[in-house]
Amino acid sequence: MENVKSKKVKSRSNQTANARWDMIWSNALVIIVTLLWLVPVIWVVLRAFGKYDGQGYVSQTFFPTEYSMKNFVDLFTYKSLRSNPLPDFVQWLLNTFIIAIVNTILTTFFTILTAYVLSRFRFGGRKLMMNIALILGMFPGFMAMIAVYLILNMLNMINSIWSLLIYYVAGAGLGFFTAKGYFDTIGKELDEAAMLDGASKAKIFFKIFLPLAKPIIIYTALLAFMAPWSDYILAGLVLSGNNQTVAVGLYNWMDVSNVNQFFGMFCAAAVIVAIPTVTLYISLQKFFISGISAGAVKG
Amino acid sequence: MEKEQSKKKFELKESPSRSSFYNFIARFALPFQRFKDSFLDASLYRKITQILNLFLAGIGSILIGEVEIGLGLFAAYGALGFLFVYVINQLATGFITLSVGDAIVVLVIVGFGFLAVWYASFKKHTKDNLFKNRGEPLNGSFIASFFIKLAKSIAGFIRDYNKLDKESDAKHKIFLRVSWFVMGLPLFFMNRILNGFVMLGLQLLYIFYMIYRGASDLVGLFTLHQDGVFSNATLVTGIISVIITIAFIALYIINIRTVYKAVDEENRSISGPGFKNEVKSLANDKFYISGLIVPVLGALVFTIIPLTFMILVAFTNYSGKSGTGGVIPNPIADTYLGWTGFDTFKRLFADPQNLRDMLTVFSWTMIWAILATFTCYFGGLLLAMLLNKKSIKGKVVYRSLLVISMALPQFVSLLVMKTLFADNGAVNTMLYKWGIIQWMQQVGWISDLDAFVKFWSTPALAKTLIIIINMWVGVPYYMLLLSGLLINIPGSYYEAARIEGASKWKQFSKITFPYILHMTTPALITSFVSNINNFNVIWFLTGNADGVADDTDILITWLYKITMKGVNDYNLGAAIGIVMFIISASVSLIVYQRSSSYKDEEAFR
Repeated sequence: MENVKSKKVKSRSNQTANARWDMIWSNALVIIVTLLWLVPVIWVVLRAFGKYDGQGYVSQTFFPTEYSMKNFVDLFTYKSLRSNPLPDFVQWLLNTFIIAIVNTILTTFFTILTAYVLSRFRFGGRKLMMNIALILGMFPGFMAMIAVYLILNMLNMINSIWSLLIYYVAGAGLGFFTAKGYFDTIGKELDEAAMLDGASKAKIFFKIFLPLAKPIIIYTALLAFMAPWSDYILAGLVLSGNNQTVAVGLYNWMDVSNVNQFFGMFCAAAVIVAIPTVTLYISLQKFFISGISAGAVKG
Repeated sequence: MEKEQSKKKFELKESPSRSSFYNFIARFALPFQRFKDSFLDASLYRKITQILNLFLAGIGSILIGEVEIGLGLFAAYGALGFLFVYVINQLATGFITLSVGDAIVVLVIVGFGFLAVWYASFKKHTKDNLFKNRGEPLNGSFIASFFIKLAKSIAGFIRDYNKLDKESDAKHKIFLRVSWFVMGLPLFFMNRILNGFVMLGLQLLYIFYMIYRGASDLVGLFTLHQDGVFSNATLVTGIISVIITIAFIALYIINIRTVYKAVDEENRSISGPGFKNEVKSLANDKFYISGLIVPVLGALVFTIIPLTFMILVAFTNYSGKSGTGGVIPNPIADTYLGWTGFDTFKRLFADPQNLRDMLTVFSWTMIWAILATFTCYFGGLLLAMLLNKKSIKGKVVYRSLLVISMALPQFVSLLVMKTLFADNGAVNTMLYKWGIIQWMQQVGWISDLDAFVKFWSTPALAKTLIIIINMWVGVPYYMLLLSGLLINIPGSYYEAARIEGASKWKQFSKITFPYILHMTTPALITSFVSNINNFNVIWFLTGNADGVADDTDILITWLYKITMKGVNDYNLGAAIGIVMFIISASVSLIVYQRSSSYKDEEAFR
């Protein structure tokens, strides 16, 4: 087999040389780019598993001189106050996880529901609602944080992780654009057939649309899950003391006054935090692509 | 038509065989070519409007009845023109000092905006006049036609209502009267118990609310003074009372109409659905009510009320910065807010420090948004094309590895990047070890006192780094998006091109790129707008609590600094927020109007 191929190719040796050259440089380029992308990640992982010398982020060598698990042990035992029920990081992680999971369920549900209703129903004020949602999206959101704080204060929810959750879920309805675009492409015949069989609109939503919308649901859920991990502004405003999310807690660790004490633990924490998010992204890549294409590409 | 074209041989014409640049110019020049026709055939009045419109863009449109668009164009034209002259004047008198680059960027953007508005107005007015010359009607004023339509439908409803009232028997006449005062009560007697119950309940709730606190809240919105209550809370409760009242008025109108409909149906001997069916319809043809109630309430409480608050704050003296005459409300110290009209905007534009800060920050925001969008887009495109090559094995592995930078929570990856490039961070340490720092000291690029490159405190270097790091975060996103699209380009295009002997570059510039660009223009614009508001990248990399606009600050981080960190200059922050909204809204509006997916929602069905 090999022989036949090479003979055939020989007659066009110039072209094969070109193709081989092309293959070599493109593969090399991809490898270089990927490495470049991974260097910071590898650096953090190495710092996490290296022995921390108390020098902040100053590192003399790329590879640590000595490996140890001490950073992780510290991370899971350090308490800023003796009276804290849980180690700081564990508390933050727990808070963020609870928010992320409940937020994923509720926000996804309401976003998809809003998208379905706006895609399938025609009622007075519908266009107006969509335009308002569009305009609201153009305001720099956190400018409103003072008022959000005051409202949460009136509801007596300051310094509770549920206040963050309420805020996230309340905004769920406004993020319907991507999912609505996706639903608009699903033919109406499906609804009509189901309606002839006597299904109610609610039933159509739960029994037909939810299963059909799997890619967009997973995409919405993924974004909803990620939101609390990166939200810094509201979490920093509403939560205080030890009752934090990872974003705010770790940001404070990296403050100039704290960094020497906490840098090793920060790197260990970064590794721990990255595990769920990176796993999710890589395993759900396919759905993520279909989500961003549905949302971003409108001909 | 034929004649016209033969008459004007110089006329530029779009054609598929020409280059896209030529066609672009042709499209651009079209209004100028048409102007002569539109002018010569117009009536004297419209001739005058056309001449006026050349100097005062938008006025012509107002005069021929396109009121809102004309007003909008005229306002934009006036505002941009004023800003242009004002900035030049302030610069010339030395009132503010900007770096040359910032001054150029600001003047170019404002000047370009000014010309663009003029061109848009010219184009529209020329087109309108051509329509009028042909005797075709224009859209006219939207608001006027809306009110005319509204008035007509109200008059029609009143007519129908009176007719129904005459036709009804005594019992139903009473029903109609009762609904004016007690919402929903008559529905109980017409087999619509649920509907009646909701209406009556909401009316009772509203009355109870108004007595309990609504009325005083409403007054508080105007006085901003309720003894013992923080003024900012008074502002929020005032907004809530206004929104509740508006909702109540809407409900009242719905109530009148529902009772009317019910009576009408009874007269035609159709009986109400009954409680059971009412509940059932909430899951069926009224499913939109049950489905939207939570999202709408959520948006109302946590988005609309806060944003209204923010807009209103710009017109108060809510500020903790000394020397601004501002106030932080505190009932114990007997300080309350007050309305100050446009004073904050005056402070933003007339105070040299604020104006200078805003212009420099604005200039960098625009440069940042443009560069961030395009570097990520083209980086992603190149990477996607590279990864799409047949000769590359293990695509999934590469793709997954590249996605890591996107999957990491941003505060982790960005804080790590910040430390990597810190003064004594890893990069500087490596550079020192390799002797590059020493070499730079010899050449004189860095002073002998520093043993490091000041990545974050040298503005130009910091800005470059921010763009590069943003690429690290953003390129994989576009890589994923575009590689999906690249696969979808029909292979026959390339085959045809290869047969014609088109080079690789030709294939890219004539097939791949136009196709991709066409598909992703909306995404590009949304990403441009979201980059204007990209808080995380700037803040996590260079944020600090000094409360002053730094070189790397974009509008949103500057805003964050002067409100949340350092000085609590809330009203100035709100004013900047409004300016930002106007910028992003005008960009988005243009785009959404043109995006066909918004126009033809039903196109796919």
